Amino acid sequence: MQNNYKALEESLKPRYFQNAVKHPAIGYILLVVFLISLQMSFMMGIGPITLTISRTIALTMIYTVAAMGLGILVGIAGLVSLGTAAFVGFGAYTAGNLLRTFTGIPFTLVVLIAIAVGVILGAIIGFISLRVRGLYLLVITMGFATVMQEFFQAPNPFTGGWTGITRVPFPTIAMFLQLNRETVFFLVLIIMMILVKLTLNILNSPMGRAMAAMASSEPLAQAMGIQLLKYRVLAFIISTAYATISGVLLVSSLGAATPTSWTFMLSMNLLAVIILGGGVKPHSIMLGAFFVFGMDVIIWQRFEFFQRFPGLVMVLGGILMILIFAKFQGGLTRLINEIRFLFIRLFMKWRVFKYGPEV
Amino acid sequence: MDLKYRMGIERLVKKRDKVYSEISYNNRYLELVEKEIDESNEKKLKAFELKSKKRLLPLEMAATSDAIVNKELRAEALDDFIKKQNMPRRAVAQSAKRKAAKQGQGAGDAYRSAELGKLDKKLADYEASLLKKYPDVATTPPKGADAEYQAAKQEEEAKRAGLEKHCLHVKNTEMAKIRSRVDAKNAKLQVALDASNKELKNQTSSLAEKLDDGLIMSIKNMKMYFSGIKAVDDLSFDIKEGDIFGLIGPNGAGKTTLFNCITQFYKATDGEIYYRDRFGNVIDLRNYQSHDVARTGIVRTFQNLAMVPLLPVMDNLMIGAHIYYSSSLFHQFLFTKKLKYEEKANRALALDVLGRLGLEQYVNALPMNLSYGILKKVELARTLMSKPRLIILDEPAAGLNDTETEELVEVIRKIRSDFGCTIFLVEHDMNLVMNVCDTVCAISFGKMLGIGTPEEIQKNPLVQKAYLGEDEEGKCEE
Repeated sequence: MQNNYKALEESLKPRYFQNAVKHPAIGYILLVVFLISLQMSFMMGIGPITLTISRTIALTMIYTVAAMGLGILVGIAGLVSLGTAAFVGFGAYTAGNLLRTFTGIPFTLVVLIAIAVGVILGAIIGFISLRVRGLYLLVITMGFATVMQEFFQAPNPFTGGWTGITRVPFPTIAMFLQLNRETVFFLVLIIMMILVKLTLNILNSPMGRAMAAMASSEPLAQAMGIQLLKYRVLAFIISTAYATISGVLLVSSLGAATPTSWTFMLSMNLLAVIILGGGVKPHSIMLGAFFVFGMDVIIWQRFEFFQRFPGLVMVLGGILMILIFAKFQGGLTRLINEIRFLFIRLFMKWRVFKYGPEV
Repeated sequence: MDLKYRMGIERLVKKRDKVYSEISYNNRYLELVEKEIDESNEKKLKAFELKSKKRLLPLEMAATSDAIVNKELRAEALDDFIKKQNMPRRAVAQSAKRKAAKQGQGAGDAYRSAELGKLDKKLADYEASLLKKYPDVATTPPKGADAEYQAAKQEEEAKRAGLEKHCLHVKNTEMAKIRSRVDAKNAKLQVALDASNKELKNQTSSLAEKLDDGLIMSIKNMKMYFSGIKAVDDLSFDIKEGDIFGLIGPNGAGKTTLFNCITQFYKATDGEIYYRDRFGNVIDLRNYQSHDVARTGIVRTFQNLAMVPLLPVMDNLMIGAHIYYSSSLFHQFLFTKKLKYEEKANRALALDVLGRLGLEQYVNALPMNLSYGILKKVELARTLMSKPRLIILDEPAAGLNDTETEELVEVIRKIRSDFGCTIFLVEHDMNLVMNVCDTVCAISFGKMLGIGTPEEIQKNPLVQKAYLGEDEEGKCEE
C-alpha cells in the first residue's frame, strides 16, 4: 500500500530548483543579475568597478546588439556586409539630433524612428544586392559604407562634420525618468535583453529556417516555396535595424557621436565578433563581443605589465585569434563546449574506473 | 500570355492559398487544444489521487493488523538499503579486479570476500534494526477502523467520479466554445475559398478542357533550347493521377532539364504544361514562379542532396512545411501563441511522417552525421511535409547501394499508398525503374523514344538501340 503512494508523490513533487536549472533562459537571467549587481556596486562605490570598466561593459553590450543583427545576416542568411559601422553611425546621428533638438522626447519614439531609418536603409541595400553574392556583395556594401563615411565627414548640420555632434542629453524614459551617466547602463541592458529574445525568436521561427535554407541552397529554398527576394531583403532589414538601434544606444550612453567611430575597423571588428564567437546564438555573440571589445579594458589593463606595453594586448589578441581560427573553427563557443565535454568525459572515465562499466 | 491577366490569376491564387492554410491551421488548432485540455485534466486527476491517498493511507494502516503493515514497511526500507549498497558493491568488484591484475588472483579474491563480507554484515545489521523498529507482532485493529476506512474509501471514490464528470464537462463546454468559434471562422473562410476558386475557375475555364479526367499533368510540345542546343525537343506526354511515372534516358537526354522546366527553374522556350491542383482547377504552370510551384502541390527533390547542414533533421523537415505557415512576420518576431500552435502541429506532422518512413531515431541528428541513404529518405520525408500531390524525384537511387535501393522502392510505394501522391521520377537504375514504375517514358537527346508499361519499353527496339548500341542487343540483354 505504501509503494504506490510513494511513486505518485515523487512524480507530483514540485521541482523548482531542477526546473530552474533546466530552464533555457537561465544563463541569460544569471547574466542580467550579475551585470545589475556589478553596476549597483559601482554606483554605491564598493567593489573594483570603475567608470571606465562600467562604460566598457555598456559598450560591449551595445556592440553585441549590432553584432547580433550582423549574425542573422552573415550566419543564417549567408550574406555578407561591411556596411554595419555606417548603419550604426546613421542610427547614432539620427538619435543624437532628435535628442538634442527635442529635449524630453520619449526614448521609445527615438528608437522607433531609428528602426524606421534602419528599415529604409536595409531595404535599399537589400534590393541593390539582390542578384549579387559573395565577394561582389562585400564590395557593394563597402561602397555604400564609403559613401556614408564621406557624408558623415562632410560639414553639414545633420552630422556636424569632423567634430560630430556633442552634448547630447541623456534620454528620458517613461515620460519623466531622466537618466544619467550611471543609470543609462540599465537602459542598454534592457534593450539588449529584448533584442536577445527577438533574435532567439527569429532563429526558431519559420523565417529563420527559411533564411538558413536560402543560405545553404537557393534552388532548394525555391523548391520549398521560399521567396528569395522577401527573405534576402528581410535579412538586410533586420541587420540594419539592429545596427541603428545600437547607434541609438551608443549616442545616448556616450553623449556624443564623431565620424571617427564608424570606420571600416568597426565593421571588421563586428565580423570578427561573429567568427570568434562561433555562432549566431546570442550567447556566442556576447562571448565574441567581450573578447573583441571588452577584454582589453576589463582584464588586461588591470595588470601593470600590460599598461606599460599597450600594443602587446593587440598582438596577443591577434595571435589568439589566429590560434582559434586554426584550431577551433567553431570559435569560442566550441572551445568552451569542448572544455565542458572534456570534463564530462573525464568524469565518465573516472566512473568506469571506480565502479566498472554500466550493467 | 497577357501580363495583366497573369497578375490577376497570381493574386487570386495567393489569396486562395492563404485562406487554405488558415483553414488547415484552424483544424489542427482544434486537435492541439483538445490534447492540451486532456493533459491538464489528467494532471488534476493525478493530484486528486495523491490527496485522497494521503487521506486514506493512515486509515488503511489503522484498519490492518500491525504484522502486515510492519512487514511491508520493512520490505520497503530494505529495498532502499540494497539499492544504496549497489554502487559500493560495484566499486568493490572493480578494485578487486585491479588488485587481481596487480597482485595475483588470490589477493583479489581475498579482498573481494573481505569487503563484500563487510557490506553483507552491514545489511544484516540493518535488517535486525528494522525488525526492532517494526516488530513482527500481530495486533487486532480496533473494531470501527475497518468500517471507517471503507466509508472513507467509498467517499473518495464518489469524489473522484464527480471530478471526472466535472473534467469531462469542462472539456466538453470549452471545446464546444472553441469549436463553434473556429467553425464560424472556418465557414467564413470556406466561403471565401469557394468564391476565389469559382472565380479562378471562371478565369481559367479555357484551360479546363486541355486536361482530360484522371490525368494530373499533361506536357504538350515542350521545347527547351540553350542557344541552339536542343535539350528538350518537342516532347509530349500525360501523367495519370496516382501513377508512378518513370522517365529514363541516357546521359544528356534532357531529363533534368525537363524537370527544371516543369518546376519553372527554367522557363521553357515553347510548349505547354497543364496541371490539376488540389481544388480541381486546371492551371498552366508557365504562369507560376519557381517558388510558387510548391504551393500548387508539386514538390521536387534534387540530384545532389540539398539539406540544410546547420539544422537537425526535424528542422529540415519543417522547411518543407514553410508554405503552410499562416503566421505573419509580426507573429514570428514575437513568437505568439498562434505560431507556437503551428510549430507544435507541424512538429507532430513531421514526427508522423518520420515514423511512417522508419526514421524516428534520427529526429535530432545533424545531416552531416547521417549516411547518404538515410538522407535521401529524409529528403523524401521533407517533400511530404508540404502535402504534395505530385512528387518529382531527380535520380533518387543515385549513390545508393543495392539494399538501400530496395528500401527506397519500398518507401516510394509506401508514399503512394499512404499519402496518395503521384510520383514522377528520373532514374538511371533500370532495376528500380522496372520494379516500381507503372508507366515508363524513354527519351534520348530531348526526343521521345517510347512510352508504355516497363515490359513494353524493355521490348522497344528504339530504346534498346539508344541504351545498348546498334548491333549488340543480344549481348547485353541482362
